[in-house]
Amino acid sequence: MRKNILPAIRLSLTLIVFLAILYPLTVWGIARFSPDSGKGEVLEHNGKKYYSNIGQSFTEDKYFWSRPSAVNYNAAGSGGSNKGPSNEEYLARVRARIDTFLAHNSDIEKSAIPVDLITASGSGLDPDFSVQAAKVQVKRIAKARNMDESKLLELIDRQTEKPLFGLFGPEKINVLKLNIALDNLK
Amino acid sequence: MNTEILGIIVIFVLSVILAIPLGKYITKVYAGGKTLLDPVFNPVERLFYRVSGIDPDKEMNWKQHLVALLTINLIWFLLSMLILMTMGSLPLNPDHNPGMPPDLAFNTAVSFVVNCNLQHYSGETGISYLGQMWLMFLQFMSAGTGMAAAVVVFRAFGDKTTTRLGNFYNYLVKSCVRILLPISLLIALVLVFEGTPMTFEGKDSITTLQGDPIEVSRGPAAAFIAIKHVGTNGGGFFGANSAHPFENPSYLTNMVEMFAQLVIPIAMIFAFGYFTGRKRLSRIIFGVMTVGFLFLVVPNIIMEMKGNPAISAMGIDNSLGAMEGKEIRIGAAASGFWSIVTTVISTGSVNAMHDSTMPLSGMNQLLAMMANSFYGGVGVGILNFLIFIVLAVFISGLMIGRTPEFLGKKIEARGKAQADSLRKTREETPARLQNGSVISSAQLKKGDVFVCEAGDIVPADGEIIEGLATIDESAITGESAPVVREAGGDKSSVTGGTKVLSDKIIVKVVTRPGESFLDKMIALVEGASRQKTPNEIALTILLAGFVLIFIIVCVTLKPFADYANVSITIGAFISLFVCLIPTTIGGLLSAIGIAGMDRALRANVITKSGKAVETAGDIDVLLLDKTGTITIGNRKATHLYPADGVNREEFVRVAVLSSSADQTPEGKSIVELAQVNPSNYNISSSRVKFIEFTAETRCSGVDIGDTQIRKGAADAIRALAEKDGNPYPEDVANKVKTISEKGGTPLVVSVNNKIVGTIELQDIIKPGIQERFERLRKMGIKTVMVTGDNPLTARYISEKVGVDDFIAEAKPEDKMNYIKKEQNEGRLVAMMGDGTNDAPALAQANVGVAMNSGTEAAKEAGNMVDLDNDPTKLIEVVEIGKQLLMTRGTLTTFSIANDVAKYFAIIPALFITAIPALQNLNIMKLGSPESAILSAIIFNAIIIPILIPLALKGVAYKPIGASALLRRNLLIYGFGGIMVPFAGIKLIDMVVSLFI
Repeated sequence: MRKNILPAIRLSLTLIVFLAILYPLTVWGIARFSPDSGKGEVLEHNGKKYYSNIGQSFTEDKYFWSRPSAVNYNAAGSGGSNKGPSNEEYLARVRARIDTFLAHNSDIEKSAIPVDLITASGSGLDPDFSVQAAKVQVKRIAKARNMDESKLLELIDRQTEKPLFGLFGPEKINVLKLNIALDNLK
Repeated sequence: MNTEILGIIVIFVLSVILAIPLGKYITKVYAGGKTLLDPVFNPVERLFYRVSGIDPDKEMNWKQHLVALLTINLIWFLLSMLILMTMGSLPLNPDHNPGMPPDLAFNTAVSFVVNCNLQHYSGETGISYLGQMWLMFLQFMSAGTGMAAAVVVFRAFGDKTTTRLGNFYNYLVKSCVRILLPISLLIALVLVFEGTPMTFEGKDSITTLQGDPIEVSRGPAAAFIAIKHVGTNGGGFFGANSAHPFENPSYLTNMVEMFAQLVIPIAMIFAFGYFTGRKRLSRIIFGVMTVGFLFLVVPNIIMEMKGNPAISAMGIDNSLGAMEGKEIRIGAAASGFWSIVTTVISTGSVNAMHDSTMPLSGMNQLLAMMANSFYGGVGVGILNFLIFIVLAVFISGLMIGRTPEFLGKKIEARGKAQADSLRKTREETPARLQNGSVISSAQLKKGDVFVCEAGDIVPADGEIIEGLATIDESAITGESAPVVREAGGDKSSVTGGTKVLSDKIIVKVVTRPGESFLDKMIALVEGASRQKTPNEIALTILLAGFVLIFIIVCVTLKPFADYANVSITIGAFISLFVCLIPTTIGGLLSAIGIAGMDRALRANVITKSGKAVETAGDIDVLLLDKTGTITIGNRKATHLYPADGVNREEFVRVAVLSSSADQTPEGKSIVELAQVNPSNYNISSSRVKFIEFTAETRCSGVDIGDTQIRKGAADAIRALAEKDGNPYPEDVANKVKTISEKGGTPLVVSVNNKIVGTIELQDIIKPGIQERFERLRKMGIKTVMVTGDNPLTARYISEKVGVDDFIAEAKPEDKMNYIKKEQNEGRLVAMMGDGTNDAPALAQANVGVAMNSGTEAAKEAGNMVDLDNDPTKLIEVVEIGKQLLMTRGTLTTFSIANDVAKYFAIIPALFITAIPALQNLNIMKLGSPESAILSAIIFNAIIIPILIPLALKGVAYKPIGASALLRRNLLIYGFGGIMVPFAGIKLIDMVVSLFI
């Protein structure tokens, strides 16, 4: 073992230089050429800066609500609820979310509420929701903003992101982009 | 088709397809072949080795590998502790995160060094960027270590060696630099262009659209996340791992990250095939793994897509699936798929929270982690699977009476005693010199001249300088037919230890002392080594492993019980432990061994060790002497062919007359064939003169008055005829040729030197021998016939009786070499012999059976002696050996299967009061916890004596083919082993319940 120690230390040092310094620097260097220089996808609106991949909390009636979050959209931490599917405490909270949603959207049938609007995401920072989650909120927002529902439906249509190459994965809508576009509609 | 499902199928198929060329590339990398990337990596690696002073071409054995691996990992561990504890005050810490306390640093260091990547810190708040970069380094190293270990095993399987297994540092560097790095770089580039951060700036503060101030953690994540998947490490950069929208920003990155963790584990399976030249095996392994993988993954996708029924019951739209803990951009299907990929491959990264998946999905995730080998981690996945194969092969091999070929075989040196009697022959044979004085053979020098007459043993190797003699060379060649040796020409040499049968020769010694044939033979015997079965060792290791596992089970039960507020009495712990450890088989092992020797003795075979009997059951190749085993010792006349124009009756008469005085078995058989009594021919004895066979004339016969009848070898009679100007008829020549081709011996008969016909002598194959070979073939044993005959005859006979191979014109070295060759290919060889010439081969063979009538040297060299001198006895010995192995294997299976029932009896009993839900496990419905434990203990105590008779009698062996045998024994002893204790414990419990 003793005769292995020095060579192992020297080899480790060279590997550190190569894999823990040169490799990340290379990726970092190339990232300079990516759309937002490797600082996360950024979105500017009214002179303010947002991260389009980091979901935000929307609770006001005039905005499309985002999904519930176990970390309250705190982007300096992340995580899910880690609640088991049959946990009574958890199911009670889901029921409460449904009631809250119905209280704010009185014109909506319960069966129209999509599951993503009453369940917390894995990261607590989910930037997206489903198309149904947008549509189910149209009546409330139209009322809050005094707008035509059809304009909102058109907006949802425009903001819907199709599956990758039209073939793989689910459809989704970025809530932040949708709400910014909503603000721009005025 | 549903786009979520399509996405999964595409990523899986793509991973498999790309794993094939990657497998080839990996093979080339480790085998030192040329690759496209050489111009980049060769100089880099040279620099590494120059700086570190390592010679990458130095071969290591497995111990050196282990030491190198552990040493460098220890260094990484120590560095990890240092960095993780002090990183709070080191550079690259823009968020001012603190260093880790020692316990957390220890946990993190160990978990990243061993590729486990368990995280008890959150990436956003618990570690600096320097710490992250260090963990990223460990993600390369732990994966590289696993791959290096796999290559060592590939080498061991491929080259069948345990000493020259390549260089650990070479494998480690190649894994990291040539495999992990390029793939990671590609993956990292996709990630940064899809939105994963790669920045050294710290947290950003922003205000949301609604006006809330929040902070956004960033960091050099892309490089980290790439190797996290490529190296199947799994530790996340951010707390939410790959569910985090920075770690996994889009469906495309999700596909890429799934591909990144799947591709190398699958490629390693193909690389195993290319590397060891066992492509078929690697394809089978891949197939089995894929079936296992699909069995786990398909239900999970379905269950996650169906959604939580408790939420469906609330009456909302649950069509998206079980979305708690899942991300919209990924969806339920890809989350369900990932949950199995990451657990079964041991990555451990998540793109959805597993705590919130459906209960049965969670079960599959746990099963996947336990199997850990349906593809498995880089390097270690295939290793895990090979361990499973070895275990399965071992247990099922034993159950059908074979030692698995997957296990290596050890070589054990043998004592030198068996060479002693050979040495005696060489040194103490009297040698008569020309002047009449007699000295011992040991005193003969090269150039000395000695005389041998009929009956003498030739004292030394030499060359005949005068005379001609028939010599019995059976001690060397094993063939009892005498041969002619005469001065001059190429038949002039004689060998020490052979016996002169007729005539007288004068011989000059041609070898120096110590170089004679006998000396070589002694050296061969002394040098021959015997292999030993690894069976008992392996079984002991297996049982020890079980004991260790059960100790861990029993000891860890205590904290579990404390947590569940259950107090378990010491008595209950001991009962559980006693019931679980495989005492049954442990107690019976020696009984089985002794019973094997005893059964051999009853078959009139004395064995020198129990191991020999056990080995006999494993025999792959059986060497049998032709004479006496396959054929009846002597040749017999089978046909009489008169020459053209010769009356058949007349020819028969001549043939019988020529043999009437011939007392050799061949001669007698001619008379028998003709079915006439020579005395019927009414020949007055006064006119008859019998001519004996001599080596000179090579024919025998009778003179009746003027009529000279001769019979003998074709060329001898031909010479006689042609000397008198008589022709050698063409039809006779043809007949002679056909008889030889058919493996027979032609004798030509002449009357007054005129050729009258041919007699055909044939080897007579023992009745029933074909059936015996058929039985051996069903046992999976290759039979080899050893004979001194020419290859033509040997082939004819071997085809006729159905042996698989033959050694023609066999000399002792030929047998030795044949045995060695088979052994080098990992087979066990048995051989039967009686002569001194057989001794080296008997010593070399794994099972050497000597005839009791054989020479002392043969008996000493073998490890069994057959008292009946029956050459076919080996078949019985093999069956006894198989029975021994099978008894051991089936009883082991039975004993281990017993544990299942005992577990069900005791565990619910221990916990049932504290955890009422365990009532579901209490399928046996035993009276009370006390009676359950007591019944299990009583059952445990009485099952051993019940099994003793079976251990002594042995499990019946039937040559019905390996898989049929395995099925049968698995059913009886595996399934039976589970059912019997269920019934037994229940019955005992009913009785015990009456009293308590």
